[in-house]
Amino acid sequence: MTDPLFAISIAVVALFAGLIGSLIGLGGGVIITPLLVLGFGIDIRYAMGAALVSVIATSSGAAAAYLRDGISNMRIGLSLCVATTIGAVGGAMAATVLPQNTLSIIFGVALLATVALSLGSKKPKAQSEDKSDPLAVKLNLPGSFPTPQGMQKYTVHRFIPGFLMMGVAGILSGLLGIGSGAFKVVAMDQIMRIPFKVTTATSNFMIGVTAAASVGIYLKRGYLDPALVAPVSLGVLVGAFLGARLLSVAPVRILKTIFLVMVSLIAVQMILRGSGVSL
Amino acid sequence: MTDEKIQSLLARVMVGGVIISGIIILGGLTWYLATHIGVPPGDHVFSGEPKFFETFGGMIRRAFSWHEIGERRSIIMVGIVLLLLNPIVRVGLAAAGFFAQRDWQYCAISALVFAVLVFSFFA
Repeated sequence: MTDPLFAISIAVVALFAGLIGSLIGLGGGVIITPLLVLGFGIDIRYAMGAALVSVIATSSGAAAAYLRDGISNMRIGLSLCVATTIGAVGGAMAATVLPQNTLSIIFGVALLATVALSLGSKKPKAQSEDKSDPLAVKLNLPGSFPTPQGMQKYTVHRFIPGFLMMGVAGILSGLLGIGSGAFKVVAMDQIMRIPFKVTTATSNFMIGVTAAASVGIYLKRGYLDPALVAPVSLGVLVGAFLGARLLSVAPVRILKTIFLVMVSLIAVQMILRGSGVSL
Repeated sequence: MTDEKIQSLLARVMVGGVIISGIIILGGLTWYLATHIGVPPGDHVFSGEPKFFETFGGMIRRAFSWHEIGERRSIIMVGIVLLLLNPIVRVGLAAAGFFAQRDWQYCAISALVFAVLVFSFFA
């Protein structure tokens, strides 16, 4: 295969990854890496580097829209970014020394966990009249967000456990070159009991910042090959944009089931590949 | 400066940054591919990249040098680095905004995140 053909086929695959990612809410990064590794035989670290750049591109676009609408909470995002960025630097350093096979296995397991998390219930928890965690109050985290019924106030709970979970999300992001949005959502939604809308918006703001912390290390180590990063990031960006447009018209529930099954199979393949089993 | 003002400034910087870097990456990729027809891709085996993008200035110089066709992809790298700077600028602007608000607590928190990012890129 020649270079232009290679770049075009990668861009097309990346476009589908971005499209699927935004339709099922997983993000393109976690889908594109296995496709590059399994489908094109690309070294997992190059794939991770390209995926991380695409994560920064898509999350910057999405986060901007949320910021403008006043839904995301910058104070929550920035204080938790302390945990995610430090974790990401550690994770990225670990990624540079771990063997490819080990990374493959960890990637597959994390992908399965991501699928499981996205199947979990997303019922909006009742925002009772309870009080926020005193530390969260001290950090000025409780806020309000616009709803059709006007501004709604919310409380913020269990800051320390949430912060620690964010550290884990950061490590995974740096180690695997993913946005780890699903893990960030767990920390904010399940642990800190922040309203889901605020959680997803703030998570988008954080994903780009977290990814930037690890991508600096990938860059210095030479895992960003321009000839791979360009088609991947452009493809995912366009795919994610189209996906966001399609969300309102596509049969999301059916697509989600189909793609989640596909992604699970891909995850298993990654684990098998890392274990040296070939199918 | 109110929170709303900081947020709308950040939003504009983010969208503008993504669009500009996307255009540079697309342009660089097109140019690179046009000069590389028939060359097989070399990403299949991991090996550290040649150190031709370690400085931003060197990258730009090489991108536009007529003697080094093989390093046209430096243009792509310029676009990529611009994209990567986006979150860093985002955090830096937030720090400046909180400073203007005299919110020292969040000025310090943003500065800490900013320091981690700068460390990862330059340390």
